Amino acid sequence: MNMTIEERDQLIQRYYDGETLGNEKAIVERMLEDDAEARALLESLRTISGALRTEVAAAVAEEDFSGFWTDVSARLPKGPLTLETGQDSAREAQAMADRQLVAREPEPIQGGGGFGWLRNLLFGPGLAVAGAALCVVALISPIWGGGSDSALPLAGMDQTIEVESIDSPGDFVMVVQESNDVPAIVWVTETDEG
Amino acid sequence: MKRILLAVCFVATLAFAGFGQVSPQGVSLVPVAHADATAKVSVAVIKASKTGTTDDKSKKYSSVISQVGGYQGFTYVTDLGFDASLGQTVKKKVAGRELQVTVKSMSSDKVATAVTVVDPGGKKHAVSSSIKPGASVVVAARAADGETAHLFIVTVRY
Repeated sequence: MNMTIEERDQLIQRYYDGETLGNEKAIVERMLEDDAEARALLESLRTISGALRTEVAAAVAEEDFSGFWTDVSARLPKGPLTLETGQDSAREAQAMADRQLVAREPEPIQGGGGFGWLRNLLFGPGLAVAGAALCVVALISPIWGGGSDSALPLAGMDQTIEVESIDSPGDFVMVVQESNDVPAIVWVTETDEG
Repeated sequence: MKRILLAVCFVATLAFAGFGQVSPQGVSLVPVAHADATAKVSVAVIKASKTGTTDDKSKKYSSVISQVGGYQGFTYVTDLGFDASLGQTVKKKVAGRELQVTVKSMSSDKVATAVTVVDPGGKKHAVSSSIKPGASVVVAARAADGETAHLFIVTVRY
């Protein structure tokens, strides 16, 4: 039977895995009797498999599964299993798993530093306090308006003036206004005292 | 409760911003002139002189003193504020002169006033004019010798 080296290796692999079909098993056994390379390939497969099996067994031997069932048992519902007890148990198990998590999604700090005060002010009872404070400021501010700055001409305001009359006994009267954005100045001349 | 507070805040803010009026008689969101209306009059007095410097308070009135030529020093004298009922003449002694202010009429866009300065000699210098509410009219009373002048900056609000 003519086959390539690749086909031969695949056939030996299937033989080792127990996946031969039809007369493939007989062909491989005849090949193993006649072909030294085939025998070496099969032997190498057995060696690698044995090594892997040994490492897994060693790893399992080192692991401690003694508390596994205890942990599982604690999560199981007590008493007969019903839909409700099952759901309760699932929630408790989830809560327990959450508590055991080393890392989790960051949660906002309640009432702590940062901008927590701003959130409480905008969405909590602080809104009422802020509103009341704003009312007080808005209502009292006009009373404060009597301060010295209240006499300041407002910047950018239309200062257009319509002079109806100027009655002055002095010898000099003049109206000056460079633009409508600044107040007009009406000049009059005082008389000598007495 | 929050909605009520917000409504109150809204009205108060409008009043503070000048879009309405809050008075003991009630709340009005539309500025209207009433027969018994009272205007708020603010007066600032600045003395101008041929020499000297401009003090810090006077510098706030740059829109006025920048238009005053021939004077180098400006000294803030005083300011005063008072309520003036419509048609009533309010008289105040200030800077050695008597200032008389009469609010003749008020509407949403115009205030008619008569500002009179009675100089130390007892002579009256009267200026009648109309300005927008919140605008200012300045009466500059120049001394007979021209060495000094008193600027009366009158602002009327309601």
